[in-house]
Amino acid sequence: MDFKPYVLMLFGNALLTTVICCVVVGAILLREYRPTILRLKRERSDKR
Amino acid sequence: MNITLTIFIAVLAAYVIVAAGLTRFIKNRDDFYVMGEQGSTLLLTGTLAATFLSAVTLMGIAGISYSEGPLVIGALGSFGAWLGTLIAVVWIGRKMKAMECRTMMDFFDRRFNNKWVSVVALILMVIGLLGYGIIQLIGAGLVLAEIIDVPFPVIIIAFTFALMVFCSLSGMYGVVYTDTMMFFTMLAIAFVISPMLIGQAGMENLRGLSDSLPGYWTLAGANDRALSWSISQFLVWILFFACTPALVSRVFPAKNDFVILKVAVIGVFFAPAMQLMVYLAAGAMQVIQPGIEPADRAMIVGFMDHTNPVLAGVGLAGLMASIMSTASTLFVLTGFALARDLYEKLFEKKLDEKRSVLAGRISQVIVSIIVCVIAIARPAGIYWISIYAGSIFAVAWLPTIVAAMKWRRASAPAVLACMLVGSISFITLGELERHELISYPAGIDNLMMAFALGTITLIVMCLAFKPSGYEIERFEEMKGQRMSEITIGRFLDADSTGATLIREYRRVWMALIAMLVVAGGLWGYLFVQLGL
Repeated sequence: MDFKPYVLMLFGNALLTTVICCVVVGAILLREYRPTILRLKRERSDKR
Repeated sequence: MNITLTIFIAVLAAYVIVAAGLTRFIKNRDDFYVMGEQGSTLLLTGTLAATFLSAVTLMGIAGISYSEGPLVIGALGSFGAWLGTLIAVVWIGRKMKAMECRTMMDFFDRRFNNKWVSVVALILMVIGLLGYGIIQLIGAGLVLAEIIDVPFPVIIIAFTFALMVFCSLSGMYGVVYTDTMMFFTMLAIAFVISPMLIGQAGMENLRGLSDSLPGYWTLAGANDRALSWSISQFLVWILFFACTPALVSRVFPAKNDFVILKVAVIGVFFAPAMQLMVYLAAGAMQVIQPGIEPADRAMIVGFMDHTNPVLAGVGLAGLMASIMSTASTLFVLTGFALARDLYEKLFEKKLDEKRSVLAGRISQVIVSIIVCVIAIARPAGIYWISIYAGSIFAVAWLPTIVAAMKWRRASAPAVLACMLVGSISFITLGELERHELISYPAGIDNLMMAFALGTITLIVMCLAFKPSGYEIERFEEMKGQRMSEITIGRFLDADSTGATLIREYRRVWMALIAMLVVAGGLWGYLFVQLGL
C-alpha cells in the first residue's frame, strides 16, 4: 500500500467543507427553528 | 459551417430565447433585481455553482493541475474558495437578505446612510466586477476564437449581445435561469467527461505520475512550490470569495430561509465536486497526452481530441457556460449598481416601478456596450486593473462588512478609512513589488499586508470616532432582523397549523444528511483509488 498523505488532505478538505457546512446549517436549524417546531408539534398533538 | 461554430451559435441562441421568454415575469423592480424573491433551491444552487465555476477553473487552474499536479491549488487554495463560498451564503448573504437588501450596496446605504461611504463602496464594486469580468471574457474569448475559428471581435460581440439580452430584458430572472442551464453543462463536464478522461488514463497510471514527475501528488507539486505559497493561496481565495458580490448576491432572490440553507448545503458541495473532478481530469490528460502547450488548454484538448463529437460539443458548451455564467452575474450586478445605487439612490431620483425597471434595462445596455468596446480594444489598462480587481473586495469590503455586522462601534469614518487604506495600500504595495522596488518575505504578499493595514485602520478609527445615533439605531435594528424569524412568520401566516413549516424543516435535515452521505461516498472512493 502506497499511502499518499497529501491526497488525503485534498479529499479530506473537500469532505470537511461539506461537514462544516452541515454543522453550521444544523446549528442554525437547532438554534433558530427547533423551539418553534417543537411548540407546533406539541400544539398539534394537544389538538388531537 | 463547422460543428464547433454550430454549437456556439445554438448554445447562445438557446440562452437568448430562454431569457427573452422570461421577460413576461418582469412586472416591477423586485422582479428585475431579485426575481420577485421566488428563487427555488434548484435555481439558486444552479446559479451559485455556475457562478463559482469560472473559466479560471477550466483553463488556468486546470492548466496548473495538468503540469504541476491537482493538489497544488486544489488542496489549499480551492479549499479557501469553498469555505469563502459558505461564508458568503450562510453568513453575509443570509444576513443581508434578512435586512431586505436588494444589492450589496443597500447594506452600506442602510447601515451608514453616508454618501461618501456609498460612493467609495460603489466605485470599488464597479472596478472590481468589471475588471475581473472583462479580463475573463478576453482570455476565454481568445481561446474560443481559436477553437471555433471565428475572429475574436465577432466572439465578443456575440457574447456581449447575448449578455445584454439576459441582463436587460429579464434582469435577475434571465441570469438565474440561464445560469441553471449552464450549470447542467458544467455538471456534464465534471461527472461525464472528466470521469471518461480519468478512465482513459487509468487510475494506476494517474497514481504513477509521481514517478515521472516527482512531487506530482504533493502540495508542493512538480515545481516544488513553497508551503507559504499554498497558505497564501488559501487566504487569497477565502477572503475574496467570502464577500464577492457575485456569490453573496446569489442569496437575495431566495424564496425563504429554507432555500438558502439547502443551497448552502447542496451548492457548497458542488463547488469542490465540480472543481476536483476537473483537476483530476487535467491530471489524467498528463497521462493521455503529455506536453500540451500552453498547459491551460489541457481540458480543451481533452474535450476536442479525446471524447466523441457529442461530448466534445457538450465540453465546448460547458466552456462557454463557464465564461458566460460568471460574466453575466458580474455584468448584471454592475448594471444594478449604475441604475439603482448610483442613479436612483445617490442622485436621489424618485422613479416609479415602470421607470425603475426601464432605468435598470438601459444601464444593462450601457454596461454591455462598455464591456464590448473594452474587450475588443483590449487597452493595456484593463490588464493592469485585472491584477487588483478581484481581490479588492477582500481588502476593502470584507473587514468593513464584518465590522458593520458585528461591532456596535462601526462608524462611517472608520469604514471609509478602511476601504481607502485597504485598496490604496493593496495597489501601492503590489506596484512596488511588481517594479522590483521592494520584496516581501516568503509567504507574505500585498493582499495580506493590505488586509492587515485596512483592519488595523478600521479598529483604530472605530475606537477614535463614536458612531452616530443613526448608526447605533441601525445596528440594534439589524441585530433583531433574522431570516429564521421572517421565514417562520411567513410560513405561519400562510398555514397556521405549521404543517408546511415542519415539512420544510425536515426537508433541510434530509438534504443535509443526503449531502453528507454523497460527499463521504465520493471523496472516500476517490481517496481509496488515488491515495492508498
